[in-house]
Amino acid sequence: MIRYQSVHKNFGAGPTRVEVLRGFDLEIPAGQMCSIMGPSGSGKSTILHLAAGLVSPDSGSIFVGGRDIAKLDEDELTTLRRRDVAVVFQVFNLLPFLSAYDNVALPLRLDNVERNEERRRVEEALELVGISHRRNHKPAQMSGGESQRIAIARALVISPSIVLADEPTGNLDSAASRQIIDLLRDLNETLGVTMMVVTHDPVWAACCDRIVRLGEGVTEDDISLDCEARAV
Amino acid sequence: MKPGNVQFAVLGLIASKPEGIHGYALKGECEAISDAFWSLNYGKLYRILDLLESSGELDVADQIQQGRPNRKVYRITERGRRTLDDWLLSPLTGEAQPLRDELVLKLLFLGAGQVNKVCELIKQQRGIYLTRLARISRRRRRLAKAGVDMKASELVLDGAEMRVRADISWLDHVERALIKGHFGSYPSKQK
Ligand SMILES: Nc1ncnc2c1ncn2[C@@H]1O[C@H](COP(=O)(O)OP(=O)(O)OP(=O)(O)O)[C@@H](O)[C@H]1O
Ligand SMILES: [Mg+2]
Repeated sequence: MIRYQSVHKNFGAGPTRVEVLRGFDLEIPAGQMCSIMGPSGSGKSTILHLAAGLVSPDSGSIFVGGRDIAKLDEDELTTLRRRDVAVVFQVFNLLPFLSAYDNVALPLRLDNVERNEERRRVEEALELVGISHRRNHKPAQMSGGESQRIAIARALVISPSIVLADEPTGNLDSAASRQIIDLLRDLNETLGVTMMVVTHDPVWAACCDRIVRLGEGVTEDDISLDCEARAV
Repeated sequence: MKPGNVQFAVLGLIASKPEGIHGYALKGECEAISDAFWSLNYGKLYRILDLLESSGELDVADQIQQGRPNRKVYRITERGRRTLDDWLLSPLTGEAQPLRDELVLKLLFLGAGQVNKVCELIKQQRGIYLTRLARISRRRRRLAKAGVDMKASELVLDGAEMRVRADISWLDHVERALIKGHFGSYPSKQK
C-alpha cells in the first residue's frame, strides 16, 4: 500500500522556485499495478522519489506499507530502501565493471546477506526475468532490453513489496518495451508486488490496473481499467 | 460525417455570421471548413436550411438584388443558438471516425467560455480510449497464455492498438491547443 496525503513539494527558492505538487492525494492498494502519466515536468519522478524516501515532502504525508515514512528514523529508512521498496529507472544504472550476476547481487551485499543465501536469491531473480544465460556478461555486452531485465532482477532480489519504475521502457524499442511491461505485469500477478510505473506511452499505461494522470500538481484524472475481458 | 452533424455544421457557420449569409456563400463556407471530408450538394443544403427554418432555428429574409431574383439571407435565432450550444456541450460519439469530425466541428464553433467543458469531453473520451487499449492488452495476454499460434490475431490486435494510439495522440494534441487558446471563432452570447 502506498498513500499520499495532501502532499506539497517545491524545489528551489525565490525566482527559481518550482511548485511541483500542490496537495497531491493518491492511494494505491497492495498488489495494484498503477501507471502514472503526465506532461514532462509534472512531477511523476518526484512522486516515485517521495515513496522511495529519496526526497521528503514540504508538507503532507506519505505512507508506505501503512507506515508514515516521515516518522521513520535513519535506520528504518535504510531498511525500507534495502528491503521493501525497489526502484527501476529509465537509464539502467548498472555498474559497467561488474557482471550481470554481480550487479544483481549488489543490494544483498550492501545488506550483508550471507553468500549461500545470496547465490540462491540472485539465481532466482535472474530466472524470474529470464536472463540466467547472461549472468557473466558485462552491461556493455548486453542489449537495452537485457540490461533492463538485469535492472529489474536487481530490484526483485530484495523481495520488495513495492516496485517503483520510472519510464522503464524509455530507452527501448517497441518490441523490447512490450516484453519489459509484460514481465512487470507477470511479476505483479505472480508475486503480488505493488507497482507504480511512470510512462508516456498510453499502450504501456493501459497494461496496468489503473492510470493516474498528473496535471498542475494534483491528480487530473484517475482511470480504473478494471474492465473485465470483453471483445475488443 | 453523421447526417446529424451536418445540420450543426450549417447552424454553426450561420451563427458565425451575425450579418446573415445566403445559400451560395454558405456552401462555399461549408467547403472551406470541411477540407472535402463531407460532400454537400445544393439540394441537400437547402433541405437542411428548410428544416432548420421550420423548426425555428433560423430566420430567413429576402435580399433585394438589382436585375436579378431576390435571394434568401439566413440568420440564427435565439432558439438556434440554444440548440447549437446544447450540441457543443453534449458528449462526443464514442466511435473513432465520427468523433474526429464531430470534435473538429465543435472546436470551430466554440465560444471562449466553453473551453473547459470541451476539455472535460476530451478527458471522458480519453478514458474510453484507454479502456479500449486495456482490453486489447488483456486479450493479447490471454491469447499468449493460451499458447495458441496467434500470428494473425496478433496483427489484428496491433492494428487496433495503432489506431487507438493515434486517436489518443490527436486528443492530447487538441487539448494542448485548446489550453493555449487557439480556438473559439463563434461569437458567443457571453460577450
Ligand atoms: N532536485 C531538484 N531540484 C530542483 N528542481 C527539481 C528537482 N527535481 C525535480 N525538479 C523540478 O521539478 C519538476 C518536476 O520534475 P519531475 O522530474 O518530477 O518531472 P517528470 O514529470 O518526471 O518529468 P519527465 O517526464 O520529464 O521525466 C521539474 O520542473 C523539475 O525541474
Ligand atoms: Mg521523470
